[in-house]
Amino acid sequence: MSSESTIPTAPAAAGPIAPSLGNNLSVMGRVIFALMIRESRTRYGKSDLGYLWALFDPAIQLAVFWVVFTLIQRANPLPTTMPVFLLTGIMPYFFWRNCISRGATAAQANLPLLTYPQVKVFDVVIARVLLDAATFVIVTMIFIIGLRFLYNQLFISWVRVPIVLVGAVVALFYFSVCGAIFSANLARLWPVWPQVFGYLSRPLYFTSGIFFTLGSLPTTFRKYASLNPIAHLLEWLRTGAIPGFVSTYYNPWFVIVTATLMLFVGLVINWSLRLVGHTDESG
Amino acid sequence: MIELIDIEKTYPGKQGLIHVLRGVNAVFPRGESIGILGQNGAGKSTLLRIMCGVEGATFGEVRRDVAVSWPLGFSGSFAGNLTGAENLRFVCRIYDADIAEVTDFVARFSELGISMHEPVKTYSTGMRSRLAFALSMAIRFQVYVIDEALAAGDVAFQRKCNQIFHERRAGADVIMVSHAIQMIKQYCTRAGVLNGGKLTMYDTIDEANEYYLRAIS
Repeated sequence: MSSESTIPTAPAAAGPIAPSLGNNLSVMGRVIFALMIRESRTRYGKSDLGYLWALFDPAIQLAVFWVVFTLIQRANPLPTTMPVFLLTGIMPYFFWRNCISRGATAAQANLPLLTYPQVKVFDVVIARVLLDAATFVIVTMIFIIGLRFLYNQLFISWVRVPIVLVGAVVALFYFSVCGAIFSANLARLWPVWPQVFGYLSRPLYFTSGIFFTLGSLPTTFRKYASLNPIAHLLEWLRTGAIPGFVSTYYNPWFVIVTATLMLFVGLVINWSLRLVGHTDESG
Repeated sequence: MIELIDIEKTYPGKQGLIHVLRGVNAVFPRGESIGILGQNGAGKSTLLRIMCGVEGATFGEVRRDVAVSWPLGFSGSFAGNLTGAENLRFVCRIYDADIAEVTDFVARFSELGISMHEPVKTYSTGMRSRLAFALSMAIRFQVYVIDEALAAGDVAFQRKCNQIFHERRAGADVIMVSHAIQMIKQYCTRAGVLNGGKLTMYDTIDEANEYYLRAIS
């Protein structure tokens, strides 16, 4: 028969999705990798312009506040330049906020993919956080190189005593991953959460210490700002990153305990949803 | 082997919950091809989607230790804003299949040509199911799942589908749902009947058909 020749031979077999632990981990690694590639395509689009936006967005915020603060002659509370003060606040805050908002929509945005039995909500959240982390690292590098040209300052003096900054960066990632897992599961339980977080993130933007250090606040305000774990995290990062600045107002344990608590609540929600047989569905 | 343990499925409806499956228990061992008979709306497709993991059960557990295909021709898992080729690469990555080989096979088999590099949302229903069918043939599964119809597209493409599926069946089992006994006789060795949200398995297809005809009359 003529149609016989038109049928190509098929590629090699796909392995079974075995239930053993070792195999599960390698399946998970494959799935997360595939999701990251897919996510970078859908998020940053076909052109490179989409990816540039990840750079422009914080750059514009930085420029606006730099101009405003210079015009009103606001004092810089740090022994450093204004862009470094703003950058050490804006970049980590953006990273954290992206993790929470991308986590919140992780399940809904990927419903078609959850139809593959090996793709779990957890994988989507991790893939999104890893992609954001990569973007965060790249964009921060670009800014550091930019500062070198602007101020002839390489912003690497922390290398001599790196332990505080390394701890703070690890804490930032931990805090953001835990927050993303919490956010993703909360959204499965409470579908309006992504919108609610949209509103919540606005006041948080101004109370998380992007524009102040805890030490520069009056005592009354400091009491309230100290309830915000992100303010502690930014203070910690700045202590590590900026030579000559040592803050005694942040508590590392507050950051770590809050993160762990969010992770725990997220996992409890996930576990309860599984227990009652919840399936993620649109609408 | 696929094992269904106390599977229940409810959907929220306008007038309260719709109870589609009411405690389905069954074992689908390796080496047997099984058909499930049921009327329209009996919950056959729902049961099938739960079996291959496309959908979750409200209660109960599915145990699977074989690579199960998605229902042949099912394209609901494609992301519309990605191209056919990108969707294909995603599936290759999560099933650990060779991207170059699968792309080559699918491009030739589906006859999609340069449309492979267009977003899936621009595809017609026929193009979508041709892509889905070609992809499920490119990745070798141990169990193939069929919802009523095996083939997609026009008569010539359907003939091609039947031919390649015949080849794939050599080392694989079939699970299919249908309301037509002829289809099940063609592919299966045993059959069950889904009625009133419960599944009853029979040793022979004729036995199942006898019960099914009595149940629907």
